[in-house]
Amino acid sequence: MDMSKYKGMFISETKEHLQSMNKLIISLEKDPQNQENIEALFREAHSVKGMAASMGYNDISELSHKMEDMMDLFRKGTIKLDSSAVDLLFEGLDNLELMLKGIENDEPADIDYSSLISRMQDVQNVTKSDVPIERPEKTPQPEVVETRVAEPQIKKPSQSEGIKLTVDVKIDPSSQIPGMRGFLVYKNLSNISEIMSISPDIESVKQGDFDNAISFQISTDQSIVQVEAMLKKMVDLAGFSVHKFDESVAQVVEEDSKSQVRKEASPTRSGPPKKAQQVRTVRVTTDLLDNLINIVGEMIIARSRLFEVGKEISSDPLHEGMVEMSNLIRDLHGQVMSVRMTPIESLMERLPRVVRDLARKGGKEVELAIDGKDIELDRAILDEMGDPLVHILRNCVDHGIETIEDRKAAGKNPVGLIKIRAMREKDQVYINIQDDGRGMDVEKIKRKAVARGIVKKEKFHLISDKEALMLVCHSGLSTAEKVTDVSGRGVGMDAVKSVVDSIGGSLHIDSTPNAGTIITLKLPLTVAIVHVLLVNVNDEILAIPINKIIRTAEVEKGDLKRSQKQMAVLIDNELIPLLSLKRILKMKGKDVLTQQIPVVVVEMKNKKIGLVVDSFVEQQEAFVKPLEAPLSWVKGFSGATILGDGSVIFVLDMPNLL
Amino acid sequence: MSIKVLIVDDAVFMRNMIKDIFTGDEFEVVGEAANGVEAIEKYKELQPDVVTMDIVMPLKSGIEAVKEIVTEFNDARIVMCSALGQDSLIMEAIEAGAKDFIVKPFKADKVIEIVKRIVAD
Repeated sequence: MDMSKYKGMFISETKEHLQSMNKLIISLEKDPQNQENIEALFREAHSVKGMAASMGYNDISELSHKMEDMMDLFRKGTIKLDSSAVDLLFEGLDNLELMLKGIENDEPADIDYSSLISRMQDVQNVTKSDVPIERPEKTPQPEVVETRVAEPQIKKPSQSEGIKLTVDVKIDPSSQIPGMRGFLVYKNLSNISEIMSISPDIESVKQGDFDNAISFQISTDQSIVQVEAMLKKMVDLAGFSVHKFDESVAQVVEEDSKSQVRKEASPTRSGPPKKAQQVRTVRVTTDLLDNLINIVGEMIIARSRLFEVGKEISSDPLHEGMVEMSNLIRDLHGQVMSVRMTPIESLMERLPRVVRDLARKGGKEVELAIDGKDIELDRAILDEMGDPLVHILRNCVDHGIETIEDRKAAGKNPVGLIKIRAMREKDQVYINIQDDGRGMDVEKIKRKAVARGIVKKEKFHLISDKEALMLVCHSGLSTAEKVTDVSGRGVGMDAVKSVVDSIGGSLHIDSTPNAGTIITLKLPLTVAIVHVLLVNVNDEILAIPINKIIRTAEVEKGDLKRSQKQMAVLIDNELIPLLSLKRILKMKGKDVLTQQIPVVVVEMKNKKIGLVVDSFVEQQEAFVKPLEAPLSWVKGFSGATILGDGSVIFVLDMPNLL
Repeated sequence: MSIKVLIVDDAVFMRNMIKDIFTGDEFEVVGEAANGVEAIEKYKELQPDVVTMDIVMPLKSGIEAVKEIVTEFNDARIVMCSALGQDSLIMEAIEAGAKDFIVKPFKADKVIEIVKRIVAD
């Protein structure tokens, strides 16, 4: 079978299983008696094992099998689920994740998990010798089997009226479980006969402890031909013979399973098979979702074009039709977006584990509270946010939360608290990560920034606290941190910020000494189709994403204030520095200040800035396409979109404009 | 007549994989179930010619489902789908009335062979 087409599905489904295993182990650590969770955990490991075996991923299959075995013993209460057992399970899970990642990246992970397996085995061995009675399920008592088997025998004749036959069978040694095949022969024979003797004994057959040959002596009212017919229907028999008990010459019938199948398999029906399944959910690849959104994006562009052309034609039916189509496209867009939406829970699932591990390593106690798991975000955004969130949490635990002693000394609860809260506000999602640790030392950050040459010494006193906090996102400060081994990769806050920026979000830091730090991530709900404000600069139309705009204003020339070379204006009681978009983009021509100056107030580098433009054009939904090289090298643009009249306009890359 | 198959497995992945084995005119996958409870319901509703039954599933195990199905329909043809290392469970299922078993990783031709044989019985 060609397995490659199953690979994607295997990866995504196994990921889900591993995530829920993770959740279950964490909850079991807190409540080891929860039988329901133990059962669920057992089943999860079992599913992973089966799927991996089907794909031929033997390492995953073997390791999850071992974990399944352990969980089987938890189920029966044979092993106590203590923290060392939990650690073993987590270690197993980590290895499984790595193996899966290897498969995903087509770089098979070369992981030596033999020591882990043997440690898991140790746990099981100890238990087995301690509590030998706990294993009835593995080896059923022979008597029990015999009576159970005997029950459904309907056709079984009494010994006196039947003929006595010797049945020799040879199990195909290449069959997957020869012992089980042997048992199946035994079972089928016992349905039509009374088995008088069997060699080797049935227990040895079941255990696979035989040389693939079994000899039965049976008493039956069936003819030799009938018994042979029954055996012919069985798979994995290399051969068999049936003869009267006292016959000396065996009549060996060589099995040819292939021809047998062909004979039986004459197609009796034409036409495609009916599909009669009730499908509640379907699994689709994310590629398909991306294609859908691309098509909707193209439709939005086409709609703009039609509207542009339609302006010149006065036809009521045309306009009505266009409005209707426009509404339909909007609905379609909404539906496609909602399909792409995924609860943020999938992102949060692994976090309790991260916090637990970090806290244990650092000798701290930390509780993680998560609120707003059901808030939904575009899958593409969620996919990006995994590593950044882990890094933020790592900072919270490593640097924010104090040791138990320090917390006690400061009069705090010895158990640190990290709260993650997701909220939705219009088309933005806020994720707050708040810890009640020691907070950040603004002065120390500033000094470090000066020492590293990130901030000029003379500017030291000009840096506001807010700006100072954001300095931790500067590559010169953040990557210098020691990389701990927990999250694996050394992403610093600069990487966090650049990921957030790249998906059109923003990051804010608030911190109070001794009270803790709050990091707020503001993320757009979706990607690709964004609301933009079109502005005119130097007869060039440019698009600014609406979610980056705080407000627009037309300021009077006379209200401008000037300090040194910097122009500024008071908007909403706040003095906002003005920058010319023309100059930022190094366009030709001088700024001619009209009486009314159009200003777009945006937030850049955590500062409010007024961008001076020539005029506002309009607001529009735009399908933003990424730029290809060499255009992608041009600083300041994040993509391009096409207007109704067919003109291509650039979308400003606000985070990297300055 | 094509052979009507009911596929029971809690993993969508496994169900799809088994479903792909039963393509072609000889078979018709008439339904899928994700646990033992659903399996029993679907069996009653669809009366398939053959069932492929996973063993370890939530709500109700494959073995329990076999027991209940066989009690009501004693000619039910159920093939257990199992992973290696589940010998005792397979044995229990066979004692409960399952006709045969297949072991992961599945070989398509083997699965087809087994299903055809037990249906022909």
